[in-house]
Amino acid sequence: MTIPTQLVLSALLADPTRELYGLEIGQEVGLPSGTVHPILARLEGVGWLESHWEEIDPRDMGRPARRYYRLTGAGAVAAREALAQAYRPSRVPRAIPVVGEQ
Amino acid sequence: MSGTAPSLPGSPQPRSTATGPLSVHDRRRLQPPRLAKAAIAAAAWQLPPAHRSRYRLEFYGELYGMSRGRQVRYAVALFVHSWSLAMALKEPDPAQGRTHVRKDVRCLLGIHSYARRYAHDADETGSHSYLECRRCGKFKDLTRRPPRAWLGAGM
Repeated sequence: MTIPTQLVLSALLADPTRELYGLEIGQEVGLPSGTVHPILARLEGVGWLESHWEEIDPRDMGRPARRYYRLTGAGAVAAREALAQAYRPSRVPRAIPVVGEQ
Repeated sequence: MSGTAPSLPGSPQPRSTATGPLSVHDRRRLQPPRLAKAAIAAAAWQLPPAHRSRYRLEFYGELYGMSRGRQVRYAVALFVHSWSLAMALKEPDPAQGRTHVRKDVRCLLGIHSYARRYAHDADETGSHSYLECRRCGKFKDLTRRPPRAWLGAGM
């Protein structure tokens, strides 16, 4: 799993019930514009995320509706496991060479 | 879900949000610049046809609430990265069990690396054996074919 994907998942996992739109996610995790949507598309493709259009009247708000993303139930579980594995340190300690040992 | 648009410093503010629908003047003023719109349209055009409309509207919706200069920069960045989004959308669904096989360049040029394989009921004489490329899996049947008629016609 790439680091940007981990960042996006971390932002969504901070509050799994919270809904965020693409630009908002990018701003939260500090990713450059345009790099978030491919990640969201992949995560949505595997069923970790679900998205829906914001329910507003564009004429009243003066802007079009946004597309909001949130983790699915299974996606939140899978994301936590994936992040735990991604950050887990190696169990086997590195062998330290002993100077002078034969 | 947030109901109001978070606005950034320098972004154009509507004059009459509290009093109901925006005036035509306000709506025109809040419109993103043409360059941003064109970049969004170009970004969406690079996507698979089934996803174009959705992402065009999604990108367009995200432009609102920022300054005009930032709208242009954001739209251009979306256009630059739209190829990556297109690749993400074209990836097969892993839940359906399909895998993406990338062929080696040498195999694409017809330079295979064949290894002899034997079928389950094969013997060492070579019958029921075949050649299989180690890289791409292409196989060549080695069953002996009858000689062509024109080769032995005059003999």
